Amino acid sequence: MSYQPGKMGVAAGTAIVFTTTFTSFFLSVWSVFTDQAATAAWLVPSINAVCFLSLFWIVLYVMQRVPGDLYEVAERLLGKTGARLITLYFITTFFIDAVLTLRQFAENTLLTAIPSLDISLVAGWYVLIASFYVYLGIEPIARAAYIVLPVGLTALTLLLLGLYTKFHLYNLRPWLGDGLGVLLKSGVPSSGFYLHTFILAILAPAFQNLRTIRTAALLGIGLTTIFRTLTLIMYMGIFSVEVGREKVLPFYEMARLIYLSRYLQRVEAFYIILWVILGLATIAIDLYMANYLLTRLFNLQSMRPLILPLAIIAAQLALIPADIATAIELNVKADTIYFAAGVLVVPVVLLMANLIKGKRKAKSCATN
Amino acid sequence: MRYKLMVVAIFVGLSILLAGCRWSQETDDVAFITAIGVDKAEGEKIKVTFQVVIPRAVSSLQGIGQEIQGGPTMISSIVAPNITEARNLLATSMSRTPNLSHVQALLIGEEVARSGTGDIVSSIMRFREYRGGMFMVVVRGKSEDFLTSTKPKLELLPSKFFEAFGKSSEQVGYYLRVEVHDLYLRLKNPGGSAYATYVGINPLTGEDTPLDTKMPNDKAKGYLPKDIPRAGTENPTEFAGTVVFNGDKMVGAIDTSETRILAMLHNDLPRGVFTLDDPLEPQHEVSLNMRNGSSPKIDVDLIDGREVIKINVFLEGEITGIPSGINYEKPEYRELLEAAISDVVTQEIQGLIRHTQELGSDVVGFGYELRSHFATYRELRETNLAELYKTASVDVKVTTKLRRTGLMWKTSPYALTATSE
Repeated sequence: MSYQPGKMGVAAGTAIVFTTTFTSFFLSVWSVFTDQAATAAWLVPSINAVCFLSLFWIVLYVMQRVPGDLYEVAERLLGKTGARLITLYFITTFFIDAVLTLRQFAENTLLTAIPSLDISLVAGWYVLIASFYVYLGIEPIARAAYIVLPVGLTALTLLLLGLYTKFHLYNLRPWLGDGLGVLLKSGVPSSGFYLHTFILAILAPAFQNLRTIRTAALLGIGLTTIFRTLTLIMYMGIFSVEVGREKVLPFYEMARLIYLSRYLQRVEAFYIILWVILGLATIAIDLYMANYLLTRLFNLQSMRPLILPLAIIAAQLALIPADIATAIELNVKADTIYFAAGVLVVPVVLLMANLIKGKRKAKSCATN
Repeated sequence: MRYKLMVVAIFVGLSILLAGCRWSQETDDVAFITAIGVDKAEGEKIKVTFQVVIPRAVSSLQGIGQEIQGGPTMISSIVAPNITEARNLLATSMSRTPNLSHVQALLIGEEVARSGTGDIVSSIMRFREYRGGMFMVVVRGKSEDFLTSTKPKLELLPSKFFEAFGKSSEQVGYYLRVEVHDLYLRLKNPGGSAYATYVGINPLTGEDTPLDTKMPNDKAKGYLPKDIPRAGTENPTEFAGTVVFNGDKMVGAIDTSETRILAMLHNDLPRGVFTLDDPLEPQHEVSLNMRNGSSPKIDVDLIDGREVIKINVFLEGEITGIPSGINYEKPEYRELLEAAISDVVTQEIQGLIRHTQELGSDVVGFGYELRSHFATYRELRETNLAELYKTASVDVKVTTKLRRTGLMWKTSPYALTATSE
């Protein structure tokens, strides 16, 4: 069937996880964390990672005992209805993420580079390119993301180093912000930002074995967490809380501050290229996953006829929020409520079903 | 395969066409503004002065093309309710679209600075064309006069004038490079008070009008812009001293000597020449090139609701002049000199703090060191750090080590002179 994801390894898996989880950092997420957690915002990515990994490990544990990808595991443990509900949930999460990411990236392109352009043109063009990536398949996207990964990480590191003169450690004090309670209230729900790691479980047959998935997840989340934490430390150290919570484009604002000499300034144009590449890859991965799961759900022969219609629908929905502030708020609510619910509920439900089924099987074996 | 290649070629071609060419602007359709001045106008309005670059004039100065009279810039002043409207009105008088992405300096007239800069700075931080790295300057007088009088003879490019001034602030420490981004951070975040560079137009009469802040033993006088005793044919505009704010309103200024001390406490003094009385022959003076030997150690504590500040500064220096001929390179004499400079710097630090406490402006940023004393950020936000600073007690300790003695390692005394009859 034409929607087979191909063959991928640790590198591709890491690239998928890193690209989809880190790209939101080019948007307004940092301002939201700063607003919620104050000076302790830099601890939020670590809390996200710990919460998410402990739940994702449950999924991997279940997949170890029940072979197959996430859909097949859900089907075996929860039945066809349960599997379909979970699949439907993930279709909506990937699609919502594609729509909101598309809208924010389109707005940010207008804000940073081409202010006179019409937003529908930008959104339409981005979604067209993303559709082309989807048409090529997840494997080429993952491999391309893997090639861009070291360039992106190097650029990010240089950005952080280039801003050392503007960094002040006192801006990070008091260390716990508004207290541990507020920090956890901000950190635990926002582990929904790591939901895309479930792609590894959904595309499990594409990876060699569970160990590959585990390694890719650890590396991807590890890299994202390290860089998110470092960039947040730098951001807080430069802008502190009151100014930090105001920014629509924290990453871009940081890049604009780089001034190393008369000849090494105004480097933000390079970073715009970087986040457009990663943003398009994220939108493409989201659209691919939505397409892939729809095809699995309805047992279709091919996903290609769905690519363009889904892309057009995504572009139309992306233009619905009235303004950028609404789009940002929707994105935060989606990540911290809807996505976080899936991160918490799906692993627990699968584990419980696995334990119950395991007990029943043991009982029936004992009776026999 | 051919089909795929065709699709790729179409996408590449389309991406070039759709990349904003429809709304593109050629460089000769755009007027680049290099400086903006804001002064008070009648009623609630402001007068915004734009310094616009004339590219053809810059080329003619470089020997390319026809010479353009009037220099490489033109000045346009517009009265408007705000800075954004002023930009719109500017476009009605020019054949090109004004572009603000190369503005090097934001100049605020003193009258506007005293009534509050918050409105102006906040709208600047929001608009995408402005950059936070613009030089933030308060003019002693009107910014329109400053921009009109600015006729640098050493700089070919008008944008380089402000950029170079920002760089050269490190050489003496008599003025600081302050960016709009720095001012905005200090306006919003609790911890320190905002400050900006102070500039003015010198009358070039050579008249000496220093401030009365000179410390005992310090030969150098402190000046504000317009007061430096100089004459000549160079540009009359000068950068000297620092304006201090309480909130977003200017409350006063510190002179060149105090600004140098401020730079020292910010660990931002790569070079500063101090001239003081010769400890053994006070009728002569000794000059020393001083710099921070290490980052100043500032400890701030809250004891019984009172701020207690302890400052420990370590300076390294180089002897640059001993007119008396005394061999200060010798260890026992060198220690005398080190003690003398430490004493002068201690008094200047205490003087700066006293002055800024009277003005209620914590420009050094002692409040930032106090942040770790608060359990939560909310508590910090609700505390009035500026009020705490006004009643703070300060303990200063300065240690100096003279590392170098210039091109001489031992000063010989002058030859004996004949007695006069």
